[in-house]
Amino acid sequence: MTALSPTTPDDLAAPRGRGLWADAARRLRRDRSAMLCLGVILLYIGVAVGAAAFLGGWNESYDYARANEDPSWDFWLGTDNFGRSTFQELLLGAKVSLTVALLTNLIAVPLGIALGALAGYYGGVLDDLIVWLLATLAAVPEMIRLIALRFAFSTGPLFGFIDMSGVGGLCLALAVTSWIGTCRYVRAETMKIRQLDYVLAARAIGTSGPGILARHVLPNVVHIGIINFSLGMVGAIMAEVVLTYLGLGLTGQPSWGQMIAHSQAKVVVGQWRQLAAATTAIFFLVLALNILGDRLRDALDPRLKNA
Amino acid sequence: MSDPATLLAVRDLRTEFRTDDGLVRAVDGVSFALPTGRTFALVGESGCGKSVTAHSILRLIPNPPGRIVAGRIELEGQDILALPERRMRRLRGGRIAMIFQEPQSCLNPVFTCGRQIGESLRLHRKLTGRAARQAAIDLLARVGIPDPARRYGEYPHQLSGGMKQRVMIAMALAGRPQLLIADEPTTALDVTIQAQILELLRAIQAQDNLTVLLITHDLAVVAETAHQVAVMYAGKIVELAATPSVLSSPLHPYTQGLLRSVPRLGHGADRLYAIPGNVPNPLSFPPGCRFHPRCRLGRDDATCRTVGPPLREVAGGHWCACWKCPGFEAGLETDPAGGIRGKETGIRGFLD
Repeated sequence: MTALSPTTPDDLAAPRGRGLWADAARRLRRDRSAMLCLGVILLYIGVAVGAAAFLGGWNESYDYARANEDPSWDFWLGTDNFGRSTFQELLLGAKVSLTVALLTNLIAVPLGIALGALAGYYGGVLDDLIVWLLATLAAVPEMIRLIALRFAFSTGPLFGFIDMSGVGGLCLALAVTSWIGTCRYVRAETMKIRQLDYVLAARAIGTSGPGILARHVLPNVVHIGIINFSLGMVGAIMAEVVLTYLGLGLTGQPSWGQMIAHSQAKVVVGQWRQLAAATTAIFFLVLALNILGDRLRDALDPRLKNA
Repeated sequence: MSDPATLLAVRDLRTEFRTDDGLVRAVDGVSFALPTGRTFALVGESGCGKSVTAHSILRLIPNPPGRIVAGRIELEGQDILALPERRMRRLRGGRIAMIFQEPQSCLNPVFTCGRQIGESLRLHRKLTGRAARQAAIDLLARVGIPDPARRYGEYPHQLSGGMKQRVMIAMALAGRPQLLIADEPTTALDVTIQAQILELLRAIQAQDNLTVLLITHDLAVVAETAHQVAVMYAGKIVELAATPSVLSSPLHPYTQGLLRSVPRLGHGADRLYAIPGNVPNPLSFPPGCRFHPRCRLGRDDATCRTVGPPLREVAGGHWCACWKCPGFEAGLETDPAGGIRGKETGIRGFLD
């Protein structure tokens, strides 16, 4: 099969000992749209970190004399009801979105991989239980599920240190629903891997069940986690915005969801700048994450190789 | 030829699979003994149960749907079917190792060859780090891989099929096994590579006094490597003897048919002989002798059609299960697995 695929001089010169990951990294580096998207995402992260460091005083920068101004050299995107810079709010909003997106997926993706691999490998009662849990959660409409979990997780500190009304609670609520996709995918893939000859060969040299999971199943499903991490960030960003818009998100700090929520009354009187700024910021971040996720899939999914 | 001690005895092994269409008796009362340091070949067409027999020995039958329902598998007298899974794991790759038909798919594509050999070294010889690396390189050198230190760090896709099979053999040898089960080790390889791999197996066997259970459908491979052969048909052993007697004077019509269907140089036949008919559907084996619908002797014989023949020792060390085979009437139903359980299996054979 390899003999039939056209080889470029570059392929022939490929160094020996190139593994799956090195190969995927090389594919990605050559992929301009993936690199561009990665650049955009890094830019957002830079903005979030920078804004948090330099624009900390925004929240109290009230100036009622300059409330609701149109864009000017002083305020590129105008000001809000309190005379605060909308542009600065936009930059500050990146922090909440990215924090929620990263934290949610740091919980959801490992959870999805772990449960999916366990269900797929061991089958039987364990599989039934996990699938039951997954199906039950998936059967509730997403928005209702989110709102319900948000309420369930907002009852004071959990374990004494996670502030459930803040980022921790929000991310936990989002994570509890967003592991499902990863879990389904990993479970199906694990069921397939379990049947492969090299798993049989590994059993034949005496590898235990957990050993096979760790050394043969996980390395072959991690790529699903990476892809779903990128795509899951999109879902988390969107969900955070919607929850904030509904008043269930984070309060007391600037976020894109709040910008959209606050602009509700303003759009009626013709002030669309806040809405446009927040949605544009979301649009480009989501676009970059989506394309990166897609390119990651191309680079990592063995089925799509040489396609 | 003095008989060496028996390393592994399989007694009346029965392995079944529950499928949606019904019960498949893939292995139906198979008995044989592997003498230490010898090669024992299990021969038959696809689906005759030879691979299931091999997998049963390592207890690698996926359950469900498969299950070993009866029999004993004795490794130096100890029934390994009764061992708890934890002790069985130590046995797999430790005292009994296995190599598979498709070296292409038996190596994990995301790990280097060295790491995969290292897994067995870690499990069975508690070697890690530099010691494991050195042991793995030594093993690669031993199975005839040139420049083993470099190959150690290479991934399976960088190796040819024959190379991968050598790596599989190195993996199998890593645990210093007493018994090596080779499940069609050369089927997926080019003919020239086949000879090399067989030669390698033979050399290793001689050096380590390794016992080999060779599963194959290729009689040429048997002729070159095996000391003893058991021919399987439809889940049962139909003939078992030393290789020269099976090849020169086969007693069972099925063995005779198999030998006639091997192409030979210098025997310029226009058409190659083929046994008429097909392998029976394992869901509904024919009554009586399972080979009778395809058999030139038994097709119209009342006994063959109704009563399954037991496996009888018709000459010293030559077992056959055929009503028409010379000397069958006078043959004794001794157990090819050794011991004195012959009578019992004989009765069961009659009731089938």
